Amino acid sequence: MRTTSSLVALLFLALPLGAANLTYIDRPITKIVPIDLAGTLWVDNPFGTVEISGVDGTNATITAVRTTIAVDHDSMVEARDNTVLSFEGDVHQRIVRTLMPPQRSQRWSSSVKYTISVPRTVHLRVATKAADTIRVANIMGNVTVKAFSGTIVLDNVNGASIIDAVNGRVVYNFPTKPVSNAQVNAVNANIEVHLPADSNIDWVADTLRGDVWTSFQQLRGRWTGRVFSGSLNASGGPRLTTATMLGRVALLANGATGADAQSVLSLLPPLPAGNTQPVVQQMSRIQLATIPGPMEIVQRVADVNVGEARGPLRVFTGGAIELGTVYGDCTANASGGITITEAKAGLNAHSGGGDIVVRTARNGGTILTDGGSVKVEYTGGPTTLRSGGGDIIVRQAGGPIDAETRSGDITVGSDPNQKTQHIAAHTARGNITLHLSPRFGADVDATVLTSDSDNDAIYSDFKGLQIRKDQVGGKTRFRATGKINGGGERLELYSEEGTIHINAGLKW
Amino acid sequence: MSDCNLMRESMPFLLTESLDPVRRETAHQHIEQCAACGEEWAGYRETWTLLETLPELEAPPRVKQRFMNYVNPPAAAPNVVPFQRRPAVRWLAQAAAVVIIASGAYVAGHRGAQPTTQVVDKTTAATPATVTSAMPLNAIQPAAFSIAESRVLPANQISPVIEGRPDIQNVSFTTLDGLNDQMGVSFDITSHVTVTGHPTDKTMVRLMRYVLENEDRMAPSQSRAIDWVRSTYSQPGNADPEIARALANVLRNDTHEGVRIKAVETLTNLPSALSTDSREALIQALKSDPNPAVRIKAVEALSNLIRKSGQADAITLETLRAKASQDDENMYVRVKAAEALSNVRP
Amino acid sequence: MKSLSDQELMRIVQAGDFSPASEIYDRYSARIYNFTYRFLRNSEAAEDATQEVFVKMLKHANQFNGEAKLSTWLFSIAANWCRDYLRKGDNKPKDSEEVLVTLPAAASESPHHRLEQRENQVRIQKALAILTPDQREAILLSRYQGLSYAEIAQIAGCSEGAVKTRVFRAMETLKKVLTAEASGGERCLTAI
Repeated sequence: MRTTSSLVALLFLALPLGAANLTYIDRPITKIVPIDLAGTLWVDNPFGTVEISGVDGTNATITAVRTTIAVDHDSMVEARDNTVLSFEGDVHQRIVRTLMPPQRSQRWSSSVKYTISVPRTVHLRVATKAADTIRVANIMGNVTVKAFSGTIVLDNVNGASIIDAVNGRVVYNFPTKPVSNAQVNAVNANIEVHLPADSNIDWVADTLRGDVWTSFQQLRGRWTGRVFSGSLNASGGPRLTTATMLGRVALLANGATGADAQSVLSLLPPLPAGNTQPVVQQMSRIQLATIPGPMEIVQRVADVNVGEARGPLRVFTGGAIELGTVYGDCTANASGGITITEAKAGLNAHSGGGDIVVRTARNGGTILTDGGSVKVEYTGGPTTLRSGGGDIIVRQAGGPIDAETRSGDITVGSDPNQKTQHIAAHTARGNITLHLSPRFGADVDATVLTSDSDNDAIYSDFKGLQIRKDQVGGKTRFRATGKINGGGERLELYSEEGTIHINAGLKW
Repeated sequence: MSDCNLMRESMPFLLTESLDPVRRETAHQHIEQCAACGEEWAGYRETWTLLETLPELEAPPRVKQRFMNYVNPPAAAPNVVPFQRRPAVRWLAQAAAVVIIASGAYVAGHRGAQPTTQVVDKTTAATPATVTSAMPLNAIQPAAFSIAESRVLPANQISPVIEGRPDIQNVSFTTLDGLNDQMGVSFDITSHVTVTGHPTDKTMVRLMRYVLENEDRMAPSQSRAIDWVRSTYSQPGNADPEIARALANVLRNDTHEGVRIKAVETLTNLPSALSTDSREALIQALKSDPNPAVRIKAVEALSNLIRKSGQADAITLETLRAKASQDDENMYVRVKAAEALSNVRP
Repeated sequence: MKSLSDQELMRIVQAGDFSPASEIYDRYSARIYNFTYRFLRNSEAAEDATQEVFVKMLKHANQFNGEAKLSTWLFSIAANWCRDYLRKGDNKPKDSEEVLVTLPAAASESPHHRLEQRENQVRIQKALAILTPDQREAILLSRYQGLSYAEIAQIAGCSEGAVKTRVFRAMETLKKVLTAEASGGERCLTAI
């Protein structure tokens, strides 16, 4: 007879395999084994459900129902041969395992539902991969659950607990006041804790998203950076630690729902003095078509996308930034990449390691990345470009250029309207290529330090350069100096382990 | 001076491990400015490079045979005679003879083949050759022309005309005892070779791999090679796992971040489902590459992979999970790691 | 088999199915052989060691913790085997043999080039031999197998700090020996 949860399991399993599958649900296997009252039960079940309840007595009763779905009879046989239940251990440690090949088959899938009752005082260790549900109820021992996805529910667990979840959901239900510590580490999973309103707990919440929720008006505490530490009613009680990256965390009174919850940031805003944290709701994505005036956007993880900013704009985020046209001074600071179509006034762009692409920087600016490439189509003013390890490309330099990269190529094209321009380019490993208009005048000082002594390292379409070659510390140094087209601003070029090309002609 | 002592202590770790970016940078700056430390560093680098020249060996096939016999014990085989390795002295003498003979022997070999204890040599009839020409490429046969071969040529079968002023270096002379007063002149000669073919020809793939993996001798060409690899091998139909593997090696080993960044970008664009090797290289890069751009691109590549297949192996999951919770990691990397995990289907 | 990860293959083995044995051998035999050969400088011992590592891998598969790296575990087994071998006293490296086995098989290089290569190999092997076994183990695993200090610490059964010290001392010694010789310095091949 199929229970609801088995049907759910079937649906879940049926998805990868499509229609017309064979399904087999084994008859339940039940094992009753004695277990020490302070013993430990281990359950390792990659796919399926685990339900454990604490009861009186000295035995562990384990019932397992295996469900397999396969495309044909042979696959069904293979499925059943390859989904093996193992019961091991002794009275101190009982180990229940579902042994399956690690690679999922295209032709079959299987899952096991374990329904287990154990003495209340037993300790539990549950590990799954993609569980449907893991439910632990009425346990006084310590509980550890490790799951990749699925819903984990702890009902009336009085022992210490540690939950490790990536995706899915974690729910604690405490009908009576908690007496032991609980720790939840999650990446994307949402966390919900339901407690009696008169519980005493200390709560430490660490969330990258930046906010946590509660229905308890009487919650007290403070923010240190993005970590909230507080207490409910009196401090000194058991500690609840919730750490989640992108999931939502809510501490709710029994009977309250998510709708009753309030943001803790708004309930207990961070102290203004000496605190750099913004009192701003944290989002995953911010998309604004037009910003009419000055604006500052500060986020921890959001990707920020702005179409047009009529005034000065400052954006600080851990995500990536994409800006259309910014009329005022523009400051963009991101951990990820930055793309700007047009900065009409000043520009200050800094990426923690992503690529930076700017179509137009009318007044030049400072463009730095700790590790990606920097590409500018046109700059109209003095521009400083730095990369921790990528290429730097400026297609049309209408202003002086100061470019430096740890390890990449630098390519700069001059502006056809300018007879001369200051260009400084420095790469600790890479090539430098300049595309200058044929009438471009400059005082050139170009150096290449290389281990390759045989080939020329500096090439110029322009006459007027003298190239010298000498040995420095085991390497060959080529130095080209002189005036091209009668001289002008300085071109200071330095490359290691690369070549320098000074090309006449703006087509590239 | 104590700075110098600290720097000296850091030097082997600059070679062997990714120091955190700040310390690495500080160390490099000091080395550039301090002559004594610069010299020490040069010594370490030289030692490090020299160590590399120890050749890689393959376990002899009999080891695998013995192991597989343990795994699947064979039925009794009365006529099996265990393989005896040739006595070393005789083998050496044979090898020497092959090299030194000066009459009518033309030996073609494969540079870089895995050394085994069996000598493989094929002799074909000598053909006249001028010193400067490059031979046309034949279809791949075991005795095919290798672009980096050494040749022994009998003087009486070579044209006396030396054309084009070839660049000759490392000249040495050998006298050959007891063989008709012959002598030998050995030299390295630079010849310019153009290899043409389809991107999927094995030779082409091997050549690209050689260029990618031999950084110190290829300095300016390597970046160009990677750019070229990206445009050629990301076209559908041209994918080759060897190229992916070569890029993975560059990603793992190259000391220059610009090159590693290009390598990881190119790996992401290769259409073939990423091999275990490249996936491992991406994971390693995500875990410990000191340059944030490499880590960003690695996490994006892994994220794309997961989004396409909905699956990921345990190591990838564990690495992503650790990255997501790593406090001092670039925030963008952390978020992308967490998002990648949320796309994993059970 | 080829597309399965190490962890996946080991799980199959742990379930009692030895069909991944060949694939696992192919993935790691060269590395294990190179490590044991350079450590022991005796090709027969290295062959025995290599075979033993993989036999043990099968026999004690259940000791492998699925979350760890297979390579680290295999190197642990190899390192232990080597240490035991050395402890047995009479086992000395076979000096005369080392030169011959490492020559390239195809006689495709000029005698001049091969001679230089051979000399370098001898120098390096001799320099490695000067190191203490702990230092040699650490530098072989770090330089030639690319393992992290944490992994080497696990394999050697010591702290990461101890590994770093061993690597540092090994590099100091190697640098002294190998660069002194190159610049025509005194041929000092005994302990420094």
